[in-house]
Amino acid sequence: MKSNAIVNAFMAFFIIHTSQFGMGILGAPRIVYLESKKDAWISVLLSGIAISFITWIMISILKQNENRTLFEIHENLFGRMFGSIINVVIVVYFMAVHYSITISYVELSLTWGYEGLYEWVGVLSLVLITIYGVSGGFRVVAGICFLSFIIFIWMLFVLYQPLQSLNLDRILPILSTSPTEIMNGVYKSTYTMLGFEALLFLFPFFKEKNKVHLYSQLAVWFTTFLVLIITIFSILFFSSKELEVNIWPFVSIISTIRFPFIERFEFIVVSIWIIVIFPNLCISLFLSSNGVKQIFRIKQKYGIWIISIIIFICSFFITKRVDNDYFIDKVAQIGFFLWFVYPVVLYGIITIKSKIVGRS
Amino acid sequence: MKSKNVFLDYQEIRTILNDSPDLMCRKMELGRQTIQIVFMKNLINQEVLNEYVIKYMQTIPEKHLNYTYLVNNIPIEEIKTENEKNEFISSLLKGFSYIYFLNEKKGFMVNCNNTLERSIEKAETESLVYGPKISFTESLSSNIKIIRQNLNDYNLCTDSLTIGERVKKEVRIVYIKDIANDETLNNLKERLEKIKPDNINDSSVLAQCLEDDHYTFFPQLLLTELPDRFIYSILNGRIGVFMDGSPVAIIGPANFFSFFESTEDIYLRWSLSTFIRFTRIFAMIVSLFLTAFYVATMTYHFELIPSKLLIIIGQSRSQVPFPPLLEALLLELLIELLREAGARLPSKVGQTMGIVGGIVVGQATVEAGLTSNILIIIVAFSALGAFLAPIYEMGTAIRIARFPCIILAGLWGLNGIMISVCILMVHLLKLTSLNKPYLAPLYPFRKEDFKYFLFRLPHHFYTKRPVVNRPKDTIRIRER
Amino acid sequence: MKLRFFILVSTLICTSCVPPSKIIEMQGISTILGFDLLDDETYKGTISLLQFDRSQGKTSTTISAEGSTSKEIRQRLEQQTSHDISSGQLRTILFDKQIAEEGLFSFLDTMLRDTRINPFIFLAITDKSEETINSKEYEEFPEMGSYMYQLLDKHEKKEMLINSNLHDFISALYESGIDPTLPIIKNIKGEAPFIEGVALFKDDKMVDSISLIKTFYIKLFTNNNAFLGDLTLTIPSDKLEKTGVLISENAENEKYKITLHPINYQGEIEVVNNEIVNLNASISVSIIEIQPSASIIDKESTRKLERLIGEELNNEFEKILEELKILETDPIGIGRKIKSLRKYTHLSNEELSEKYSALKIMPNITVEIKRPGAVN
Repeated sequence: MKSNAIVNAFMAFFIIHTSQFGMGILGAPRIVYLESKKDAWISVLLSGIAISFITWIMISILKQNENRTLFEIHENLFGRMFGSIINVVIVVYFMAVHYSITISYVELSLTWGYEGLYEWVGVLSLVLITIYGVSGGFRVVAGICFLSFIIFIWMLFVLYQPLQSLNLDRILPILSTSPTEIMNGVYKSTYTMLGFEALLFLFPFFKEKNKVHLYSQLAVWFTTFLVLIITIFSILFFSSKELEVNIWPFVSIISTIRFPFIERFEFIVVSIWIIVIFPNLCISLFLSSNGVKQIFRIKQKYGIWIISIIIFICSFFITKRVDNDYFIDKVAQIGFFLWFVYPVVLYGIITIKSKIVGRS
Repeated sequence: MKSKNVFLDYQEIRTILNDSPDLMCRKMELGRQTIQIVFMKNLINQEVLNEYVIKYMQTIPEKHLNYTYLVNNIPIEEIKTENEKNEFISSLLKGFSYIYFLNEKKGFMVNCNNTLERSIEKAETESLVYGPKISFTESLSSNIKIIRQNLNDYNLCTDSLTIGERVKKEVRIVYIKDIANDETLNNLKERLEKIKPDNINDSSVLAQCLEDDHYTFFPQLLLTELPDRFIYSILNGRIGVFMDGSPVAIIGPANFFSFFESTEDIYLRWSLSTFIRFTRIFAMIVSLFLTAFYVATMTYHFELIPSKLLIIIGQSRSQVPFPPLLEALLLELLIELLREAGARLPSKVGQTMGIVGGIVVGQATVEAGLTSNILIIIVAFSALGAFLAPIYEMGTAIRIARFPCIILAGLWGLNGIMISVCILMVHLLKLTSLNKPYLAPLYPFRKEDFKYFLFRLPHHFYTKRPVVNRPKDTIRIRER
Repeated sequence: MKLRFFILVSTLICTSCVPPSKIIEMQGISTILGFDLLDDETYKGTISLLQFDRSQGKTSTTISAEGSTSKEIRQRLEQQTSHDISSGQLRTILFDKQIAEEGLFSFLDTMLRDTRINPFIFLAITDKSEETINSKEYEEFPEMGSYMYQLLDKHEKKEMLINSNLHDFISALYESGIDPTLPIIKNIKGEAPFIEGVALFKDDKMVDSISLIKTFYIKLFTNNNAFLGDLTLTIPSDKLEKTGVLISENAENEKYKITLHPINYQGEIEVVNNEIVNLNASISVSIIEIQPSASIIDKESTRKLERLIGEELNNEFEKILEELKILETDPIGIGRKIKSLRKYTHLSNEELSEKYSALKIMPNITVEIKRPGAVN
């Protein structure tokens, strides 16, 4: 694998943004709304601020270990044995993320026009294109992020059509929910926003390291902005009960879009969403296989295959809606502790260690 | 190491050349000297031999009739004195005559070859509305001449190489020394040296041998027969390759978008060329996915059809006995048949073929209810789209790449199309041309090169050469 | 290379598992669907299917079936046709008045669950949906479904009709403080079906209907983006003379008819205090017709005319509002506006409707005459 490939700093924007933006956004407005009601958008904004802070911490950690991924930092900090144990947890987490994205997309597309197809067929097709993408090394993965962004971003301009169905009264009054509910909303919105942790593992691949912080902040804020917009749209578009029962509110909003040459635009969007989740899949597979490479000291290629086969086998067992929900919920929970709490702890450990080393 | 000067006698040459009836030996006795002239009858220009060799030798005083004097004074521009055996024979076969002094046991070769060549004509495969119409010919020397004539720069290098084990062909690497990137140049030279075939038929074969990825649909090196395109390219830091006997030049490194540019884009006004270039790229996308989209919609997603079109499309499909996938594949195949027949037949018959095929067969299949007329429009449109690519090879690549898309669309509908988009995306990202990324300047993103490859601007914007070629001298227009 | 080969092979393996295809000519594509109530538990469903066969003259066939749920009806409909009945191109759903009076929710819930049904299909009420669908009068359109769709779409965009698609209906139904409305389609033999009026709902039950013209006032406050249709006012001539707008040349006419063409409009619900709600709206109009012809020249008389028209509209609106209050239905969304204010945000639905019937609602429409037509 050409893991030493180097990309420009501004690619950090595309990589981080596209690894954040994916399946979560389709259902996020509802999930956050269930907790913090009309003030869901405040929750999203708050979690944006939190992520921005975490990104700053991540960059501070990485600045002290310029050319190391988090896997290597762990080995360096805790020793080979203990570091590998943490790395295994992280690899399993990324595998779970990979599976959660795959299965939730397959579920979506089965609901939208593909009833009767086996889940494993959908999973297999996604797994195969992901293997093909990741086997090209980091340069190709970064390229996928970039192209996917370019292919998708114009879709946001289509949102001008539902504008007239919005009703401003639905979001008023602001701050009618209690702070605890808003904080619950923040917690719930993290699954959508996860993905910025890729920075911890990809930092050595970037060229101008001092610019990476700027671009990753931009990416994080751009994602927050998009999630915010879509959340506000959903709140204004649906009445409260309607939003609570709609599993994919974003798709329903899209379904109002109508062109003279095409009806039912949401079917196209559901298909195009393959391209949107493609970077997600590639990055999670790339990171987990990179971890496998680090832990077992084997070629990344084998990691890719092993993980893909595990993912494929999973698709025979976890397929029901309730199971998926439970699974995704757990992934979100672990993701929250791993990437919202753990970096702060790690930062503490690293600072203390460097002080001890500096003193002695 | 064998001796460099091999002086074969006539008999030995005869054996090597398998008693060729063309091999002639003219013995001349001039004074004390006996001179033997050995040549291949059909390959030499008899006039040259008569006028400048035989007559010359007859007119000069006898004391000058020796090896040293003649080597220095014979009025022919190219002579060879030191020859290895193999090269001696191949020179003879190229049309050299061997002048051998029997007394001195020494000889040299003079060039009096008479190659058959076409006169310089208008370009056939790449036709232009504006701009120079001249095209390359099969002769390497006249090609180099055309380039030298139009690109008067002392830094223009034309490095020579010989390729082929049995049939030796001269290959010229053409570049401008202070512009072309060294790394790319060395890379190209290495690859050229690695090629060891018996024979290379044409430079298009050479291009295939030089490619980074031999398995892909997509061409990675530009093939052109237009000198102006060639010159434009090497001035932008690319490297060109000529091969003797081929009217097509190879240009590299190429990127995906350079297959959609035509030199005419420079000659036309920027607004029009930008428009045309977008049209080409749009046509490429349409050509790749339109039939696939039809198949997907007809098979899985009839919801997408606007209500006004629904009845028209439904009616046209109602009599068709095949599923949409088969219907589309049949019709695509039909178009390919027509195209191939038109290309192979003499041009007048070819035109008739087109009309018969296009109108009669098309009309008849629709009337018989074998295909829907909507599909005929779509297939014709996507066939047109593929022809819009200025480089013929790219057009063929698109035509081929369309089929997997159609099949995937027939199997999985729109999701199949999107999966094929993903595969295509990864594939293009993986490709390189002479180790330079194929999808540049889109990825790696070089916005300053967009004006070269994606659209056109008025000419005073072109102050720098495209970065993707990594030229040594980046400045094109120095600011005053 | 091995990799690519592998991918190729696995793609081929995958190809054996394709989703069940929905090839267009195999589909019984329904464009309009109607439900009628037969007796307590049985409904009759009628569906119009597109016919693609060119050799037959007609473009659609209708089939009907009876059953107790919409899915059961669907199954019975399937028995009557060789095509798969699919609702991907469904544009309109009709209900007869009895169903509407009983409640539409159970039907609409199944519609929402089905992703093949666009949430933007129109809903409408009619006397007997089977007859309406079976009607052969549909102008130049190929079949009833597309005619009905065009009819409702045009009226929503250019005339008085309030948004009446599935999403709007469900959205209003689920929301506290606003009640949905649906158009009523009238079917007379020998004529193309037309819009007769608008049904008012309380929750999902139809309570009454008003004429299409009257929905002008409701649309002022619910939809600011569409156009409004023309409005004709009848004003007694002495009233006009009293305010000094016009000096009629021949006093024989007892009343003037003024037709207004709204250019744009802006409506706003203003909650003044606990008891009073103002409905402020400003409309700019052009006068396209005055019968009998009279001229409005000076600034003064234009202003007076504006005020007069405003008063007329307010009077009319007040009557409608009274009517709505008696019916306890709130299509304008006054309740929603109240609920969006901080101090009322915790009101329950019952409290809200109590509050609504106790409210004093003041219409306040101002008119601005932009152009008095082509002649002065």
